[in-house]
Amino acid sequence: MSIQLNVTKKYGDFELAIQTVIGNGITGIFGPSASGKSTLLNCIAGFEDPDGGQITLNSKTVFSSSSKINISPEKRRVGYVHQHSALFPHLTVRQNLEFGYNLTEKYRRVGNLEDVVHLLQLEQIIERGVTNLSGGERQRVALARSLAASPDVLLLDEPLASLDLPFRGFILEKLREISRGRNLDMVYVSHSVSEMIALADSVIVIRNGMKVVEGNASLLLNNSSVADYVDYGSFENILQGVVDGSVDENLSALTIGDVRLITPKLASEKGKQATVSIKASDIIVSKYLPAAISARNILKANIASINHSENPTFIDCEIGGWVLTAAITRQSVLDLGLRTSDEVYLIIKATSVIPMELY
Amino acid sequence: MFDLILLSLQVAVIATLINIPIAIYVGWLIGRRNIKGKLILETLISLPLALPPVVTGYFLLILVGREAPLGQLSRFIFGADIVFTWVASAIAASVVSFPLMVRAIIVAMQGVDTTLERSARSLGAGPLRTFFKITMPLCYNGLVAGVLLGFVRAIGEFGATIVVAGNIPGRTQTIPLAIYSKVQLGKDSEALNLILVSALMAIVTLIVHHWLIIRGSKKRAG
Repeated sequence: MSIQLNVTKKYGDFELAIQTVIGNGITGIFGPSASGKSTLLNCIAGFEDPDGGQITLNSKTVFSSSSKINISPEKRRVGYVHQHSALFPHLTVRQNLEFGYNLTEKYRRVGNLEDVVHLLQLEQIIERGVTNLSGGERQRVALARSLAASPDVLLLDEPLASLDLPFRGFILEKLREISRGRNLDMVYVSHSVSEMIALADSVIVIRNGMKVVEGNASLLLNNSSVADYVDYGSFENILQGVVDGSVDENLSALTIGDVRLITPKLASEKGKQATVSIKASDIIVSKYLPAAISARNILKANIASINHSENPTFIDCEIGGWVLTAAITRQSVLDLGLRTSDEVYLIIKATSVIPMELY
Repeated sequence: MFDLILLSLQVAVIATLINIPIAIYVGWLIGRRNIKGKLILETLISLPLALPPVVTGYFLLILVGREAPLGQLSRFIFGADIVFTWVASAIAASVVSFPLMVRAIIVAMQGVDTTLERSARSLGAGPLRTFFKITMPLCYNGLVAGVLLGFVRAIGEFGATIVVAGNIPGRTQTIPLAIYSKVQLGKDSEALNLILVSALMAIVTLIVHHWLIIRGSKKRAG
């Protein structure tokens, strides 16, 4: 699925004017509040009509001001997950899921309803009303409801914004799984750099209704156009690995690529997937292997890139095929004489690894 | 007495049934759509609430009287007049109770979260399905309140009815009109009986209202 966009939309003094192509995989739309991210999604979904331009979904024109084409939302086959889940309060979880599922032609359905229930682990709440569900449960149902309608593309408008850590981890994990497993393309709106880097294959930065820059999600860590509104201090690495069992009664091990990471006790069983987060500022960078240190994780890595422009300075370190980003002061970079492709040791306390598990 | 109650119920039920689809449509128009002239439409539908009912009755007389276009149309189609019939009573009750019903429905419609309707559309539901499966059930409380408020107002209608339908026992005399006549004639005990019946009907209506609301809430809670 590719989405070709060339739209303009005006609201008073604000004008959205975007021309871009959204490709396969997960595309992040990043930008500050009121930059036009949600308006863009609404135009793609057909909830709002652009003032002018054209929208093409997979070679099919769904909106064209010049050709007077405007396909209604229900015929676009675009799923939409809202920030506040927007579940139908008068229906049970199952009825919410069945709503779109029953409206989807049989030949278009990707799996059956029970597959989605199992995927999002909704078995325990499937017959419940939705009004008493927690925020995380509601968002799981919202995601399941969209999937049950087997859309061609899924739009997600800050779906993790109001969730706590375990649910964020779970949903991120599932979004990756769904994107790969179902080959479902997604457009993911967020203003969290951590989520973007963890999830998006590519990112489009929007500001004041205009596209500023696009490319790999890691550009968010070293691009001056986003520097003034990104909270770099809170940047966290969100990592997914396979549980390698318990180390002792308080610690577990998680294998990510070739690396074995010591973490606080994980609830997931050995062999299961688990997501953890490590704040970039909690990672210590050393040029030499520390001889005696209490930290449980000392990871040998190579510096893939250094962002010199911002403070803190973000250092992308490559470890066995994956990247871990550390945030250190500019002065530390200078004192250590760090350069791209240098070999370094990343020191991470086990307690700095935060499990993002649901149970 | 039984005929009186039956006629009152007949007039109020017909008036309410006439109003329900119109009130839902107007409620949707005002509550959910960005239409031009919304203020004018809102003012017009609220007018019977603000005007003395006798004035509303007079306007209706101009509209459906024997020489009026609608009166002539009725004679042409049905071979009968509208004025001074139970149909005129129902029209009067309908017009007077309409603002109460529609205002409750407008408030309910305005309270429906648009993202829910958008979600329904993105899940493959067309506008009509979205309206009947999402918007309407979410307006349930307001709809029930509006319908029963309108019904109560219709059953108690007096001013407009007496102008356009008169006070003819057995034909257009509803409970409020009968109470008026009994009091005028000094038949206080008979008037009191009708007042009790009237109060009983109001209480039953309110109980039904509460029952429907509680039933809806339980259903929603799953």
